[in-house]
Amino acid sequence: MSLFNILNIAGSAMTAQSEKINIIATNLANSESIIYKNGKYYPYIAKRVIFESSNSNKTGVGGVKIAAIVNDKNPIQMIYDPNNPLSNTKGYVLKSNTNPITETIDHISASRAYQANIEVLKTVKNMILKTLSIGE
Amino acid sequence: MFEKINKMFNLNENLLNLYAKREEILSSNIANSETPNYKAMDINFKDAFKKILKQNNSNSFKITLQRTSENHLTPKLQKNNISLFSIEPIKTKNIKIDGNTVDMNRERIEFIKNTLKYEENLIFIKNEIKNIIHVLKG
Repeated sequence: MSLFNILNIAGSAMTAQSEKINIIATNLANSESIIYKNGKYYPYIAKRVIFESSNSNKTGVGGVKIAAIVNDKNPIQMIYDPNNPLSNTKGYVLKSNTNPITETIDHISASRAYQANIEVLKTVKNMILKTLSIGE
Repeated sequence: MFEKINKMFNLNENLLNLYAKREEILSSNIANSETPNYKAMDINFKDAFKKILKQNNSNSFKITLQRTSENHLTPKLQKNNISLFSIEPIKTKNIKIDGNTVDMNRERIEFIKNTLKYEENLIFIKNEIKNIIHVLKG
């Protein structure tokens, strides 16, 4: 029944959007983080979520799934701070490429999309209940 | 007699199926509003309704049965299969940078419209059932 399928579609979109919000929160929280790997210190690289349509049939109708979580391609900032113990020989420190403005805007759009899907769920639930009450 | 009652509900039943399918497509559009390269889809309502009317006017009412053995008889299949609505991408000039063509305003409004039409049809069916019950009770 296609009405139940809508619940799956909206649900998949909600999962995808909340995962996006999760990644955004990670990016914002780690904007000052340093990662220690192989005896060296690296700044945190922001992550981006890529969505993909998960259509099982040929029609192209279907939910969303997360295709990949990739590193942000923005350049890493270099800040002159010779007093910092992590600075290199010239006195520069590498800082994370997280951009708080981009993250905030992405967060707003993701939560709006999430809300839109909740509206869809509510409407469809009402439709199913009304359909079940035929003949009463 | 039951055939007649069946026919009474036939049009509304097919319409409900059409609206439910369209609801699915619209919700898929809303869900994929941020998916790169997703093309917004829709049913061509005019063609779909024509198909339904055609099937409704043809008198033969057939149910397809599953054949599990070679010895089963094959019923003559009708050409017009209602479940095959033609789903097409919407033609629009409003394409985002990532190739996505979903217009959220349009989708939300169409979604609400479609829901109301579905519920309107449900009420028609309810009233028909009421009428039948009136006749039966006398």
